[in-house]
Amino acid sequence: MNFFLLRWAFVGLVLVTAWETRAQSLINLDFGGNTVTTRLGQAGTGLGTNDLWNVYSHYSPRYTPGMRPVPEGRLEALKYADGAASHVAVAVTNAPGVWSNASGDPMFDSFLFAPNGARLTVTVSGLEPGRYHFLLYGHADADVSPEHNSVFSLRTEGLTPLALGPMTSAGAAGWKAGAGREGGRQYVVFRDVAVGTNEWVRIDVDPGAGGVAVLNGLQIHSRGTAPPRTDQSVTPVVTDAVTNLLFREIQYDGAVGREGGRFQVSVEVESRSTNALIATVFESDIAVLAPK
Amino acid sequence: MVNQGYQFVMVAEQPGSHRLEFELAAKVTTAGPWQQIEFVATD
Repeated sequence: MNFFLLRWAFVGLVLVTAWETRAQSLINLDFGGNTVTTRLGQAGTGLGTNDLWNVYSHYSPRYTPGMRPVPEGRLEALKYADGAASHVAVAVTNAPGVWSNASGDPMFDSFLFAPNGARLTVTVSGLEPGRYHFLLYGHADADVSPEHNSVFSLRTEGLTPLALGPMTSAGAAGWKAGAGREGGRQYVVFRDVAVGTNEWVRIDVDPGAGGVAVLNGLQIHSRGTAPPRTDQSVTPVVTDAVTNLLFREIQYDGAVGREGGRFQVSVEVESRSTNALIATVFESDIAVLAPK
Repeated sequence: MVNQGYQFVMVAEQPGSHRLEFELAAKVTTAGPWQQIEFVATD
């Protein structure tokens, strides 16, 4: 009878992969001098070309010379990259300065900065318990002052506190959007950071050799271990923005004999694009017979 | 459905929802005392 035993590894693989996709979350933050950003899509990490970026500024609608410096602020209810609402909030202290780069990446081209030699601090609260990668962007191109590359430290507060860093980048002088990004150059990554229930994350941004602490952006990417979010929090997605085939359901009804396995497969799939979309469906030494 | 060597890819040229039904044949290989088949399917 052993001959007919079948290892249904592929079924488990399909289920696990589907769960991880649903559970994975990403929050993007673009720090700068105005409350509007044109930033979309991936940076050091991302889920797709239409990833949403939250914009954080101490000045509304934008900084103009002569404004009273505002060193701190808070932004509630950040949105996930897919547009869904979250309970995550971010607070920044000691960052009254705003300035810009000219890389062509709207996130990288706007930043907050602290007074000379001082530290600015970012506090993130409301994250679902889980493990996250934190990608931090802290670069200012040289102009009248030298290039600045911030030094980041991260710690969590709660039942299982962590303290990570300091960490800095090797610099991104002359980098232009479209040239590709590299961890340790345009950004630094704190990987696999465990965040417990009701714990918050504090990120200290200190000046590097240039003498000024700057902050362009932050990405918080779940590693898929947080509880799946409910669909009710998902805001409507513009249909034209869906650029992947959506597999709603896949069913297998199979039998295995001495010569091989045969499965009746039923797939429900949706395309929302007027462009041709392609998705890999199966990989292995298999054959697909008689599509109906 | 298009065969691209080790892969089968699905191509949708128009928007809409579709239900596809087909038969899949997987090769059996010997792995120790067991016979097994394995393939990777889309998520």
